[in-house]
Amino acid sequence: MGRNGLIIATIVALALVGGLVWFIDQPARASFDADAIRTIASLSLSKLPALAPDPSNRVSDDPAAAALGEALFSDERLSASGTMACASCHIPDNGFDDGKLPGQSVGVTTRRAMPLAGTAYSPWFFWDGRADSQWAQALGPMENVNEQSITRVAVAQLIARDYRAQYEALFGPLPALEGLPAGAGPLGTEAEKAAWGTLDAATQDAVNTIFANAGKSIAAFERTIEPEQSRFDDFADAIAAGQSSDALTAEEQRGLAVFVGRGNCTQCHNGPLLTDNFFHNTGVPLADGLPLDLGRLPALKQVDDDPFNCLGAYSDAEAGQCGELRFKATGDTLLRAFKTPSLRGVSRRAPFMHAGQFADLETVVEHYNAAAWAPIGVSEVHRLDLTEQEMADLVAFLKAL
Amino acid sequence: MKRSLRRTILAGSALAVLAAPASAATLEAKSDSGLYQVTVESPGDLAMNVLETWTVTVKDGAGQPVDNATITVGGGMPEHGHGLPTEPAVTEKLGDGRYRVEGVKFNMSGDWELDLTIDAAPGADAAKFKFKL
Repeated sequence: MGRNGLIIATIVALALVGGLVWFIDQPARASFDADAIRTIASLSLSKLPALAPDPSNRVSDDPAAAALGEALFSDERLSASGTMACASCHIPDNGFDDGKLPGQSVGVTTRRAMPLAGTAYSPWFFWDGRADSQWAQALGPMENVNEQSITRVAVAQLIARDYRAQYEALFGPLPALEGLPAGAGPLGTEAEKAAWGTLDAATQDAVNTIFANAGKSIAAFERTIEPEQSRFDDFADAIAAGQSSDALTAEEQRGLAVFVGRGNCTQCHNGPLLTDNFFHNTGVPLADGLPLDLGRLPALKQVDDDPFNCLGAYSDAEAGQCGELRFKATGDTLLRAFKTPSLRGVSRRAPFMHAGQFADLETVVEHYNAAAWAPIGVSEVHRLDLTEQEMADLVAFLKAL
Repeated sequence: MKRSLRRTILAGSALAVLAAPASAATLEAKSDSGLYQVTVESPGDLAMNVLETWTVTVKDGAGQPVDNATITVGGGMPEHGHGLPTEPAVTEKLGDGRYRVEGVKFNMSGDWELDLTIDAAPGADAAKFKFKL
């Protein structure tokens, strides 16, 4: 071999060695054993069962109710200011999220707006589950003085003025409402509560019925808000069928392996919606400047006392259909426990946790990895000891949902 | 088919083994002090995140149905250190030693335990059922 040949051979050898070192240095491709594949398959959107009708809402699957509900959802006049609708914080073009910390809305709220897709499958609503149906939930922000701050009498009068035909086609004739005080409701200002107190029981019941029906229409619309097929679902369906798939990148696949493995995420983020719809204390830090928030535990009494709950007079359900409410869990483990949100579309919903305590997914994953003591109550999270690579991969996977 | 899914539980131990269930899942156990033979039955395949109504059957040592028992239902996931996500309760005594239990739900995959207490004429006892979801 001549001198040039030797140089070329050396260069090739170095290139080969360098290539080998680079190859060995690459993080391994994820491989999934039978257990992991079974878990992954269970998370696919294809496994979401058909949505059963809500027994407490007789118009839950009525398209006419959904049309009325969609109009009410975006009607800014359903507020004291005339400028706030459900859609103001649940922005339809933004995944029904507003991307804001609590307190940056029109009023001063203490928790973030929650995502809506697939929530019809949940038995509980709000971060603390104080509403047990989608329609009962819709009534809360309307009368909340920190949110829309309108009263139920005003809601009924607006429906009578501007939605009469649609309403009556669904729910029958409206009573006369013109003579009633415009601002009257049991959850409003002192003046509004006093005005409500001047109404006789029959009138209050009639107004409550219209209010409940407004909620039921909004719920019928919200039931149509479905989660979207993601690249993760394409991947999950393929490997469940025994095929290989490039729908997820190598990094995202490694992240999925962490998600169903060492990350322990599927303890709570399970099923096709990646939520168990239950309440967990995950040791989230206290939120600066906001009042103490104890989550599910104090909400147990609120849901029992809600006149619009499953067992109440405005529900269309029989008591036998109200099992979630009647047999709900109680006890101290629910202290500062919050509802597991769905992770579908999560990367588009910063900031994270009930008061937006974590600005990005990297911080979320670091929180779970470190598993600090809960500031109040007992955290269910345990240290994971993930590597930097695993945490980065997990974030990449979450972005593919 | 159903029979092949049942395993009689030996005294003192209550480990239930389920073959892949094609219909209702049935678990049997002898209570801790041997007073009762207890069966718990789900309405269909063991499912996750679904509220269900189960049937509990209580028989005495002689195999006779035990009516008018007071039964409580608890349990959880011992490995994770948490209880059930609901508080199931007997809502109807069906007679013939059978009891309707409403509000049964399991919210994740893994190893679960159902702990029953039974208080009837023969005495107070407890039965444990273990299964994997």
